[in-house]
Amino acid sequence: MSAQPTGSPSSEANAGWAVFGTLLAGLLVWGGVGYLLGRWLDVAALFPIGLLLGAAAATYSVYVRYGRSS
Amino acid sequence: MMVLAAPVSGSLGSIGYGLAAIGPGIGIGLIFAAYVSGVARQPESRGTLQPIALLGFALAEALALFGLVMPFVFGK
Amino acid sequence: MLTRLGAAGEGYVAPSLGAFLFDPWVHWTSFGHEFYINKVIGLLFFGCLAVGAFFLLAFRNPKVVPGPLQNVAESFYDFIRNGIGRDVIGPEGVKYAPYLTILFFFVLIMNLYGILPVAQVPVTSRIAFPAFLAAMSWVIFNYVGIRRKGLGPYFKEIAFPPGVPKAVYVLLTPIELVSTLLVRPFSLAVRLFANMFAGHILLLVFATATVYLLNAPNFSKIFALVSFPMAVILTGFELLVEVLQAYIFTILTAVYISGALAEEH
Repeated sequence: MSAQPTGSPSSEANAGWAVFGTLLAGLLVWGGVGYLLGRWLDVAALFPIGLLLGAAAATYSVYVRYGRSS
Repeated sequence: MMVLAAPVSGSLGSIGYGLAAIGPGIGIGLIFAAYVSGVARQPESRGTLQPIALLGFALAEALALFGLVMPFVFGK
Repeated sequence: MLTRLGAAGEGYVAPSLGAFLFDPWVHWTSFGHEFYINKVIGLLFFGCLAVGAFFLLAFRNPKVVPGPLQNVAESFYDFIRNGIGRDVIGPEGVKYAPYLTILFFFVLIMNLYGILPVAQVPVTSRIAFPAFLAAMSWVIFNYVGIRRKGLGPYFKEIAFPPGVPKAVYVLLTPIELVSTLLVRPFSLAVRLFANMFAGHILLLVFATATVYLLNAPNFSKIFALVSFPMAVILTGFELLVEVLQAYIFTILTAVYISGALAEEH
């Protein structure tokens, strides 16, 4: 969620946990897709590629939600 | 012969993750330390500093999470 | 031939998962399922009764000039209502203050069992209890968000962060959905569970090590002088962790509710 109460003292900690959750979700989703595709097509390299893609997408998502100064 | 230490057994991946978590741990500590001291000096700069701190945190945390999944990629 | 470090006699047995399994007090079968009541469930029932009875007694007959019990209960309630409800959610957070108060004190007493004599096991170190509490928080924040914004706009806000090129949504939408709808409740449950579980193991290691070292046949006895103060210090540390984790669980529930309520900007 984009709306974090920036005034409250704990807002950084909440945003920090949300960032952590997004990164973890990125690795899980695209790493998982890469792993399954890699098993299906028998290409071992797809799992690390999926992980990198997931990390990049999650970092971009963090930039979109939290990184742009409003 | 006297063997003093027990042989290492169990998951090497967990040891690897322990080592891999040191760097991002220190990095995240440095990022938020700088952020806290920045906001303490200039409370009005909080809005500008928060996105920067969170982006730095995201990049450092990504390394820690890579350390977490690497044993799955290269492990057996 | 000494092959293992510190092997004397039968050796030190480190506490393991067995420390969290208790013999059933009673068990019966009904509807084709087996039901057990053991120490953990007993502590759970007692905690529910204690929290419920405390607030019922305190507010059964509220007065303008509060008596001692009502005074204490009101200051607890004020702490959650102002410190969490109002500060995190905003003015309308007062509506959720009763749930947050009960949640906080329930989790707190479930955690404090870890260092209370006689009880000596945190109920929240069994994953079922944090998982159910996290599921309740999940249901509440989704329900509140859907009711406030409607089903479509609520999920649109979760799945599509604004200001992104259209093609990138293919990459971002699954991540956003998983992070809000799966990772959030999972991390909420696991954070509480893992803290309580690890803390309990930590206390057990130093407590059992003290007993083991005191019974050691040789000079190793003196190392009990190290492990016993560590057990005492870590008990104090656990008190801090238990209160903090109950607070974090409550505040994160409030943050999720406020995120579901907040308008897109």
